[in-house]
Amino acid sequence: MATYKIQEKELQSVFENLLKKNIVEGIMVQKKGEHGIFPVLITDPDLLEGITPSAPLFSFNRAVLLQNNGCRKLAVVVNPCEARAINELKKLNQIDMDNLIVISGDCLGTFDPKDVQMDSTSPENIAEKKSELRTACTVCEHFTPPEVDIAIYGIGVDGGLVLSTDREELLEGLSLTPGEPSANRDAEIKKILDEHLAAKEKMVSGISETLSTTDGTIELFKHCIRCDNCRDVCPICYCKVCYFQTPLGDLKTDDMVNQASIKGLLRIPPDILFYHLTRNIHVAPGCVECGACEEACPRDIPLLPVWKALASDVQSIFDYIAGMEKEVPLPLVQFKEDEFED
Amino acid sequence: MDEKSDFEPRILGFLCNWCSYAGADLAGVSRFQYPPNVRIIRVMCSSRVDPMYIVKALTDGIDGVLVAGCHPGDCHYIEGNYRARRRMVALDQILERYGLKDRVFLEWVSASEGKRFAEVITHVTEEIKKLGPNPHKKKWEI
Repeated sequence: MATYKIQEKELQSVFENLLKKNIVEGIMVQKKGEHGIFPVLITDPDLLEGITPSAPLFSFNRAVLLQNNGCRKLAVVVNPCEARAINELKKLNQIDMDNLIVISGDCLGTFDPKDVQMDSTSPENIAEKKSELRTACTVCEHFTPPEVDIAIYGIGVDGGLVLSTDREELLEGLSLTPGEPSANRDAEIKKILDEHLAAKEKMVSGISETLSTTDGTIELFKHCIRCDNCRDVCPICYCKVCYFQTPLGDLKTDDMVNQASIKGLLRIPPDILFYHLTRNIHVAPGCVECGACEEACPRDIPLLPVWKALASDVQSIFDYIAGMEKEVPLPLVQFKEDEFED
Repeated sequence: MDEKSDFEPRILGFLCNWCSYAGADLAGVSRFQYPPNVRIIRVMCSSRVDPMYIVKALTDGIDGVLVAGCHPGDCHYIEGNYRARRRMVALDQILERYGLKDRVFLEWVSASEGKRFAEVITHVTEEIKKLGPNPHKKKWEI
């Protein structure tokens, strides 16, 4: 593990090096334009000018776009939640990691570009807007990079950033000065984590109360219009053909008449709770809690608290954290002979 | 109170072909008495039961679901029931939040345990009777 001290400006030369040496064909990163900061895919090293790799923005989980990646080599600069989704998709055999270099850094929370206009990515500018952070970020427990190719540390670093990698061949030809994060990095992480955990606790206890009664559950989901947006933006909901797209799950008018005639009445769109519970059981073991589903919901259903509660419930019994490590197998594809024996 | 005492639950039973279904057969051949509340679906292995099936049944208003397979170590497919067990544990965690956990049972019944099969059905039926009808049966709003 090699660590180097680096300034944010110098990250551009790291990316330039990757492109010019043909290690990758393109880089997925954020770039500032006239109308704001946008995620882009850059193949021309000259166009790297003006990139803002550490802009704290999240409009959707970019891991969704990397599913079934082909043979073109890419480097992606993503938030930790996106990097975890990539690792999780790798375990689900949906991403070929041989063609992907994942670069991720410490994340102090992100904003929805819809709500916040970013003029500058300086920390002071971010601190000012703290109240407008995405809800998912205020309750995030894993804001440091998981297992990735190049990790960038900003928390507990005096002036600039620290770049850490196992794959030194990616940095070949660059003259970087070795350096490490300061000793109080762990303490600073702990401080933020405690704050987020307290917020999460509050969120989970609120939703537990709602879900515990049938009426509460109905109140929560009653405005769902089954647009399936939450499924489409979810990086972990990866099936190529969803049950709810098959003739069994996607009811046409005649099917609905048949269904209705069983009880004499059918709520339309049908199967709202069934749909959400199905997503719950399929995604909870691998949910990275990015909050993209909640933001994609046109009816403002508070999905994030539900996922926060269910993901930590399910992952904690298997002693698993989604996407943190590349090689730890998924909880539902392995077993021990002597477990859960009661 | 009346409604509850007259309540005859409807229970869905997923039985594995190699052990539990044969166990049910033996219970029948041996004429062990057990409550008639369970509707049985034969599956090739307890791991064939996708948790979706259980969730579908529960949201449609079934009062209880029983999944029964071979004892751990006895699976016809060597490890199917270990996988089923993990899935059911994960499902339990989720259903617990929705207040439906107590309606789902995972039991091991071997082909020679006709008596035990009758006991399991009796036990499950009694537990569900105590809980009362599935609240989702009467709710049509979602």
